[in-house]
Amino acid sequence: MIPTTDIEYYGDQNRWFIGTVIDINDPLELGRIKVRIYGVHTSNTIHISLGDLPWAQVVSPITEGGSSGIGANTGIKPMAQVFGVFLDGKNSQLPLVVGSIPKYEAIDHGVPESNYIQQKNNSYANASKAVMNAELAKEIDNANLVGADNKEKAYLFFISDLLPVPFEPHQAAGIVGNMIVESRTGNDINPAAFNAGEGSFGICQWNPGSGNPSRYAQLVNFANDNKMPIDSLYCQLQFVMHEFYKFGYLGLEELRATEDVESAAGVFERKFEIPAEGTSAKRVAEAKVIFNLMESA
Amino acid sequence: MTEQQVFQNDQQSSDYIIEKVELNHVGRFIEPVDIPTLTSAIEIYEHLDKPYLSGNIILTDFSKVYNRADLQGAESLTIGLKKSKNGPIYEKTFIIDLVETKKLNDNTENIMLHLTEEIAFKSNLYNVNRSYRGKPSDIVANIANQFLSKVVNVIGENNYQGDMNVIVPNMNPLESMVWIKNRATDKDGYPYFLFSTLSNDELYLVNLSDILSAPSLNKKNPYFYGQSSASSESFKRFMIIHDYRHKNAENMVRLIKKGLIGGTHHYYNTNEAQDIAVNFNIQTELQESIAEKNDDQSQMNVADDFTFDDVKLQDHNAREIFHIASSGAYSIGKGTYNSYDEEGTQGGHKKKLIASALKNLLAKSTIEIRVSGREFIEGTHSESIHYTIGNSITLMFMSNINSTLQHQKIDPKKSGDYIIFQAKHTFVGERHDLTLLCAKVANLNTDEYSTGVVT
Repeated sequence: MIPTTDIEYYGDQNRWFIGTVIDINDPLELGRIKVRIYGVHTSNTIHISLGDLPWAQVVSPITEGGSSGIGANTGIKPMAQVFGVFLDGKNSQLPLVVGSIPKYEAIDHGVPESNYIQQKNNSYANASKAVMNAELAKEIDNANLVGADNKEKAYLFFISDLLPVPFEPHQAAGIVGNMIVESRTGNDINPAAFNAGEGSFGICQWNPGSGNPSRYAQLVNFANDNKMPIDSLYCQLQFVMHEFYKFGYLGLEELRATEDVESAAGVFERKFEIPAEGTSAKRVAEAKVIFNLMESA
Repeated sequence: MTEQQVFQNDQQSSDYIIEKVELNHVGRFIEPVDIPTLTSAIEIYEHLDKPYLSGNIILTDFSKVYNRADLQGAESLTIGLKKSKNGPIYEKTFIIDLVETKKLNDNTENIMLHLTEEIAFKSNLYNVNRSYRGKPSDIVANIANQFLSKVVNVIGENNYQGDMNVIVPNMNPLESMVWIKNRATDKDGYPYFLFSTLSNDELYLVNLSDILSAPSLNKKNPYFYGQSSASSESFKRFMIIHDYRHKNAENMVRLIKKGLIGGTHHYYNTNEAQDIAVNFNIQTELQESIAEKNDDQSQMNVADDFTFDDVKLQDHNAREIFHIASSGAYSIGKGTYNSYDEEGTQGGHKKKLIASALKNLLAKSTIEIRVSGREFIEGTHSESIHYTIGNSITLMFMSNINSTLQHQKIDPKKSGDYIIFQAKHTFVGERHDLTLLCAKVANLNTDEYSTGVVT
């Protein structure tokens, strides 16, 4: 149904929503937040990325000043469940968040979205099967990424305008330093890296062992859903961002708050990779190498 | 419709030839059915504000067609028509979306198949829930290409609206395209129309300003209605309007109620707590601009001298209408995009009102005419040419007074250049009739005619 524009009074056409907070770093510092709205914003982050989501204003309690710059900052956090209304009714472009809805915090709160992706996959190839195609992967990577090798491509991806809010160079280096340790082949990261013992795969060694569905299974679904082979570097980099946006506990906010290479590599290791102990120093060292290399370049 | 074509009088007895009527079950195996020999009537509808065609086909079933075809409501039917043996084929594929039957006798039954152009059916198979960034016309073309593999011919000046950021909130592709198109205007506020035609498989996104400015297809040979005068020598150059009627015309109250004659429209930005109030006066905003489109026909069909309670109609502030147009959804400082309804200035918002007023003006002054369809199917070129919706034609009606032929005046209210807003092609027997819903935004300046050319 096409929304009508013949509304005499804006309040006569209402539409309320429930959504999940994705981003709280309002560039205008007005306390706005980005919310992925259930039923209006697909969880497919290629179709509607974080950058595409509108900034939603947030209603403050009347115990706050509300004018002259007086009032407390909003305390809402990513992954909070919120309730709100669209100020423009069925056009649904202008969300206003009214409050948050407490919820049961489960570690697998990504499951509903994964199920959704799985359903969507019915129209593409074999939904649950990983599709590897080195030739197509190379074609996709060359079309979307720049850089002399994979680690450069990944670094430049994370600081590029491909992301709605690019990372700082030291943060990108922190991520790529981890990827080198996870998937090293020669002196580069390898999107086709496979650990036969664990069954882990890719630049972040996504593992099929835990979670329902596992992070590896979600990578497969993501790749199928977006019609990309699983061994595409670009696909895996997009999936990193997809996971960041969807799962606040993976540390996007903390990573963005870091101010040097060492802490960035540390946050990515602890929050995103969660590896066995003993590789932290290596990750930091690799991160520093790529940071210095790219900065000098 | 060339001048030669108007007067050409080939000896072909039928107005049209059915080249093909093919039923396809899209993957299902069904015994082939010879539809053309059973076809007793075809109707096809074109509409300026609909991106798809619709129609009906009536079959007279005397050979178990209904049974053999096993129609289930998703079959495709391709209809091919042409004017003459060597003429171009006008071909369209429809989907049967409804079936009705009526028994004529024990052995014969009429089957009416309601048809919707394939693109409309296909559109229902896809859900659009994506983000788009760009000019409205680019987004429309993008959606058409992504989901429907269709080309959109954008005709007219670039959109006034710059890049916008929208998230389509779950619509089918055609709905999405119309929704986006509704926000597009040119720099003067003239709206766009998105439509499909019988002549080819493309979609058209055309600005009203270009339609109004384009010359009439038959300026020198107007369609003419006048029973007594039709046989006169003076009128032989004219083509005949068989019948006409006005329907729901001149509804001024509708425009008043929408605040499109005179009113104040408020657009609020919650991010800046700022109200942009736009005072709209149809005379001020449109009279001059409409006059520029057609020198001969510059009297906007809302007169400027209606006065109620000593105040001119357009000076009454008849409505105060309130919108929330922006909450700064995409305001990020550098690289900011507008959201769907967002405009930064009073002028920007006013264009939305002008577009709405023009669409309502078109709906206000309509006339439905019935003419021969022959002239609207090009038979002399290898390529099928589009002559109906979105084109202008000149109609001429005589005044309702008795006078000698030489001094007879035309009716300037009814006569003039009209936009073809809707067309219904009816192919029955040997005739191709065309019922046209024609609309205009202004009346002729004069009731004189001399050489057959309205001056």
